[in-house]
Amino acid sequence: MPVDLELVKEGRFKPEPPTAEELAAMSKLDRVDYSIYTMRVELACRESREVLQKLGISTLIRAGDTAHGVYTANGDLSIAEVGTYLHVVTGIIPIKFVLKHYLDDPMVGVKDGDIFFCNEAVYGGIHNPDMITFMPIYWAGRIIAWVASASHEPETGATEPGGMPSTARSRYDEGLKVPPIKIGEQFKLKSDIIELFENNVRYPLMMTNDLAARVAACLTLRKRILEIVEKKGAEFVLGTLRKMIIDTAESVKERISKIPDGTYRHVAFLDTVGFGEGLLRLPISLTKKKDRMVFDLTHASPQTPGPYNSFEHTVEAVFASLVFQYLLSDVPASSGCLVPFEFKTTPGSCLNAKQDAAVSHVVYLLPVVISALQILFIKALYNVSEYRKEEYLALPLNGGLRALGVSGKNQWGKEVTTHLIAIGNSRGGGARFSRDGVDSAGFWYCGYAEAADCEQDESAYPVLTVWRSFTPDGGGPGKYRGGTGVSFGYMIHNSETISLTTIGVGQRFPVAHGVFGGYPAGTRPVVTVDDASSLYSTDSKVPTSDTSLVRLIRQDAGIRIQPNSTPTRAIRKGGLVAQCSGGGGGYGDPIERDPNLVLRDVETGRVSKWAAENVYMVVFEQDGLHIDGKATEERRKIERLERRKRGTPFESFEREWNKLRPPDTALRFYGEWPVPFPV
Amino acid sequence: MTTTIDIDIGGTFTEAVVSRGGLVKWGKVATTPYNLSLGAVNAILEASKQFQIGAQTLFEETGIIRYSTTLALNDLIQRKGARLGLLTTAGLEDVILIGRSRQWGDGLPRHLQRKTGAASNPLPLISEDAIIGIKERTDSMGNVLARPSRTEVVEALRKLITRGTRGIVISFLWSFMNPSNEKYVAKVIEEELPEAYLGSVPVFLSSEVQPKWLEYPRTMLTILNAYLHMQMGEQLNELGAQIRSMGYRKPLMLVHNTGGTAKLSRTKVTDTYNGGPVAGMVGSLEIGRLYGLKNIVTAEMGGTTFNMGVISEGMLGNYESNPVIDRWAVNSTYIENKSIGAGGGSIAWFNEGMGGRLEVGPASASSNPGPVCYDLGGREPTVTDADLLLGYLNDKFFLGGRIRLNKDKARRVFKEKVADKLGASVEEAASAVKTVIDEKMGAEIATDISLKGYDPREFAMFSFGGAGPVHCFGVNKQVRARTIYCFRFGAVFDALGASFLDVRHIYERSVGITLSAPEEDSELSYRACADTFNATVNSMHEIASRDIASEGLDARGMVTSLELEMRYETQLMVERIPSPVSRVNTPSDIVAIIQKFKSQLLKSAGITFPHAIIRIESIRLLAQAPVEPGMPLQSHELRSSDASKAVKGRREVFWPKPGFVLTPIFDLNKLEPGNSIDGPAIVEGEDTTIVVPEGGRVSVDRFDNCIIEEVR
Amino acid sequence: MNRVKITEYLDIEFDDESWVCNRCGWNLGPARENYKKGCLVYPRDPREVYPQVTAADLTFAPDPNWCKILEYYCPSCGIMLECEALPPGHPITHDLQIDIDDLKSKHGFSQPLTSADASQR
Repeated sequence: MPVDLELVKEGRFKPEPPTAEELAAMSKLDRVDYSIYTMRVELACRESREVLQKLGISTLIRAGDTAHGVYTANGDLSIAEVGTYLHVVTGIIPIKFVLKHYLDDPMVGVKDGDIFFCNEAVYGGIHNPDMITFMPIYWAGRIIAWVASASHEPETGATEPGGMPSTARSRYDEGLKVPPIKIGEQFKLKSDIIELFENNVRYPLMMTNDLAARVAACLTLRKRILEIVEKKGAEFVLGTLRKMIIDTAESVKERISKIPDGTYRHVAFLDTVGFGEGLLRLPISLTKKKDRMVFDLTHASPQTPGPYNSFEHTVEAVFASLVFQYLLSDVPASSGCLVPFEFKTTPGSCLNAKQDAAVSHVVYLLPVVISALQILFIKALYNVSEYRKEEYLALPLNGGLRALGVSGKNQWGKEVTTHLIAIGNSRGGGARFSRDGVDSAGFWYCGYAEAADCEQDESAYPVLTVWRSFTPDGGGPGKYRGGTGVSFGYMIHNSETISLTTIGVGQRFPVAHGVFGGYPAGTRPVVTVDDASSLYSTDSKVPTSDTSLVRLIRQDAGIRIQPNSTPTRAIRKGGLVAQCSGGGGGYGDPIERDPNLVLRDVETGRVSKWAAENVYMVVFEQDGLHIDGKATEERRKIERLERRKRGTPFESFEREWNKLRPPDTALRFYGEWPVPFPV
Repeated sequence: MTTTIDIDIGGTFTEAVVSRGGLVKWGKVATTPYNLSLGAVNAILEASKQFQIGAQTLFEETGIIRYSTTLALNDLIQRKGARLGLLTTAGLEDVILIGRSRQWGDGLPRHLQRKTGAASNPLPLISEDAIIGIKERTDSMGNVLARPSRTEVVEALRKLITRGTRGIVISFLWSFMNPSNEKYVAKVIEEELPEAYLGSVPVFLSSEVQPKWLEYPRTMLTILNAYLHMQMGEQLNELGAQIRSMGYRKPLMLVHNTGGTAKLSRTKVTDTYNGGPVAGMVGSLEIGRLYGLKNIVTAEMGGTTFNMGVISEGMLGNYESNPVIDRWAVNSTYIENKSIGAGGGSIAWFNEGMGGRLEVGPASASSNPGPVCYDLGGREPTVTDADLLLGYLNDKFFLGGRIRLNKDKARRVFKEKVADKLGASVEEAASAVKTVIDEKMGAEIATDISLKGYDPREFAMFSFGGAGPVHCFGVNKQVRARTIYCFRFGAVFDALGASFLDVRHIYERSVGITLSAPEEDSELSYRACADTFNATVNSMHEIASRDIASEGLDARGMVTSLELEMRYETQLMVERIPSPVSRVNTPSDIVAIIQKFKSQLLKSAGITFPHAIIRIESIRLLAQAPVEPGMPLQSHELRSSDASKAVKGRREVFWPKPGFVLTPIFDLNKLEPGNSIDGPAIVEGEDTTIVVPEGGRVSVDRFDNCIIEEVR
Repeated sequence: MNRVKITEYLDIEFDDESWVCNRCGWNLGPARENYKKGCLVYPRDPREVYPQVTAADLTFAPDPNWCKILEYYCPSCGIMLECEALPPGHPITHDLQIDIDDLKSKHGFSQPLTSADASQR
């Protein structure tokens, strides 16, 4: 059948209207029981997540990139436990698809004990490494709820190992894509289906293991729900699940209504489409009226020929990731939370790509624009003292994702393929109103995440961690600086040659923006060195960052400076690759930063002396170790005068500015300049 | 039978349990943090008075004194430790500051881990300028790629000493595979620094403190021990000196969180973390033996905490899977006993973001300002306030009358903040709060047991701590344990539990042995594995014997058991397996190990992979040497079931179903073995209250413990 | 004075419905317009904000041909009220377009001023 577009239209994430039965059930709910049993279900979701974490192989499972949820009988998400919020939303459409197409199909049908699967992003997913397993809960012959377990699997049988090929040009380069399908019956997986999956990927053991692990998680969750049904009745569960959705919708509407009506705007830019560099325009505006909010992402760059594309609904899923970490961090995750929000995109843009687009890097594309949304929330809510709190309105973690993958024989002679996830999980946190961002704060999609130890990486993969340190000048400067990310240096060790894949954004254009005069966090390329093998065998100094690498390395060592997304290339034993995770944006004018904080930053290497003097306008004493307070004050006074001299009044500035244009190489994928799909 | 004294020095109270001639008495006083021995001695004196003997006599006849303490943790939290320096692999100086990118959330309650925007890293234990990288490198196979240069080490040392460093930690990558680089640096330090040689600037090697995989928790464990080593030593030496001056001559042992004890000189500071509750679990294990109970869940509810522990298959076999001490992830192995809430201090509130859902906790009034009824300035309605308003607690007799509870204040706050919002009476509101917290705690306990692979219905629940028996019946509605046990000495259960502790040591090493899974290949696996396995076990055995001997015990009486941490190569979590063999001498030994791993994983996770490679990550040796056995509970003759002699009065108590009922109050001290009481009833002791609703029955058994059961 | 703090540096004064720099009190223009119109603007070369480390095409600082950081200064005190990274020539963002009447009512102020009132100030 052709793609079911009705299901994927914007709006299907939103909860269905409550049924009469659900309303009746809600009216009978005892308040105390409601407290007890909603918490019980939250705990059950947590339990099933722990089951998955115990059993799963994917490194992303341990890193927390999972979700477990309970859905109403008609597929609305009611209660969830998440590592990564975006997975939660994506269970909704696959469930609705099965209900719509297969429930009454005699060739498929839905029964107690059936196990379903989906990783097709068109149906509400993100991209195909994100795999969801879901099951109906039956009681007295009818479906009363659904449960789901989702995780990111870093291998899909695509043209490159790792599940996210940067050279993908269409969906047909991205490997296995499965629309909602039944993969098991009577609580057991079908062996022919397992064969099918295993046959399509480079790492069959992980595929099957994690498939079974997600089923185990679903079964645990199902068991707990049935225990509640046995105790309190099916009607109670129906009413409770629906009430959670309605309650959260109300509380989010209430929060939104506090924002002053108006329109708030920001434009973000990406500087790569995977296989090549170029600017992508990613605008977002937030128009708030009463208790509704419309996000306008129209006039974004056109669909790209690489994998940096998003389906329309994926924007909403990634939006969930942001708000559940900040503005709604004290609200339980449910589809009720999405009720007040509407998203507008232009079909044919990179944010609303056609079905045959490659989308595997959507997780790199969207955080850049959705992070801008947090800036809009800050601007819209700063004046509301109730919400001027860092838990709601801190600048977000850096959204410029980066990853490093290695593939080849490890030191034990075994073929391995992996991402070294520490990079992804150690991005800098954005600055707050009254303090710096956290250095190396975590993973954009779910803050509290783990970056593996060096010894973990080195035990299974043929690498040596030469350094792992805070990136110098990694955080956006400001009155309060953004947290820095981490700089990693890996040397290939105990393996003759491996395939290296680096993925990421942000080597020419900053992606983590600041606010109220705070600068964005800077850009960074990837550095590789063909031969650094003499590092340990001679008395050369150990580099402690990519900056120091460049300064220390011999010219004949074969140094290359490359964009973060560079196609797979071979790297030999003794070769070295350096990549950084990005930093967070800064807050406020840097010349207002307390000089003592600047000094401490310089002492600890977070900020270079150059930046201290030229950006923060701090003056050191002769010894270079102490701040000259008076001279600093003077310097900053002078800077303010100079600003007034060099700054041009807006109108005359704008006239000249509008004549400028980036080079053609930067605009290859941009669309019409200056605004694609103009009004 | 020797007299024994067990002391538990907590943040608020110091307890001393004295077992003498078949009887157990205890004393409880406020902790004196500025001079611990004062509180400890006073607690002992309180107990000795009940035996009607003098302190001198008691001390002279006492055969062993054991103590557990939260001191180290308190000093850690208040950052009162030593000024340290860290020498680490060059290039990796920031590892302990990066903290795996989750240091800001480690040790925090879940709801705070969600708030990324409000994150902040804890204040480091070592300042950045005292972390110095040394060029050296060992790889995952134990090969040394670069050795430290003496010049560099001396230069680093000079820097540290100029800063006033009082202790040095050395932590290099892969040092547990090959410690030679760490050892070399230690040697240089000793040669260059007389203070190090003499012990006034102690040096700690990560390969010696904990030779286990993963550098962040290994380094943090080493740092914690270095940080607190001096203080704890000083304080406890002082305590020891005081007790000796009063006539005590025998060993002084510290309670460890591994379920054993050891002398101060054989104790790592981090061994004492959470030792008290673990001692309580050992006590439960021993008491459980009397009853033939193999599966017990301990539920200890105090004024500010609710801790649970799981004893399964007659063993203390569940280790903490994610060890965090304060805010620091470590790789210690200690018995799991986790905090699942804030006990009596949990605050009731309404979650407006959730349609006004009534919730209890996680915020807590703790002990300061405490519940409203404590009258110390608390303004938020807590669980203890609810218990009081329901009539479960006696406002005039709380803690034997030591604290008077302000019922009026509690009532006012409850009305305004809970009852009015619910549109209910104060008692109904209090009842709702109690129900919510009981169900929540019960569900957590049930989930924890299930995640371990057991059925809670096959468990007994031991309920202790001041507030435990008030809530145990309600909590058990979710857990569904068969029977609940409460104890007269419930308020000092941990200290009493310590009286059952043997000398116990745990040694562990990461070995990283790969076994090919297919059984046909066991010949190959055998050769690869045997040497490393046996060498590691033999080495740990030697150290164990030496340690036990140094404690004045006969090493020949030492009992050892071996555990393996194993996983499928690509899985990230390890499974703890009791080793079926003590050495690998034949290929069939490997087969036995593999079979044990697979069957256990199948049981706990329902999963198995015939073709996957299996690894032994670590080997753990438990060495135990029995000391004078703890006081077994005395068996008594059963009297009549009629408990009417113990009735001390009646009062209006609010029960969930019928509401107010004039309920009999029994004096715990007057109950005798054989007595049986059907609910609704309240049993009051000096520091314990047992609440028995309708449908429940409490009886005193032949061991003089209270059994609570549901009766149909 | 009837002021509400809107950003770290910008207030809105309701008496005359204007944007105000809250560090020095300078009037930056009508609150219903883009505050940037009242600012001095400077297009910062990013290599002045981030150190260049290599001499290659990718320098460790953003590419100045792809990116300029527009800095918005208060004309009176020189504080940097806001900045934004844009490709050269890209339209300047009107980031704050607040419904002033709704803002007023949310902060407890009375009805909007008539234009007659405004012209008298």
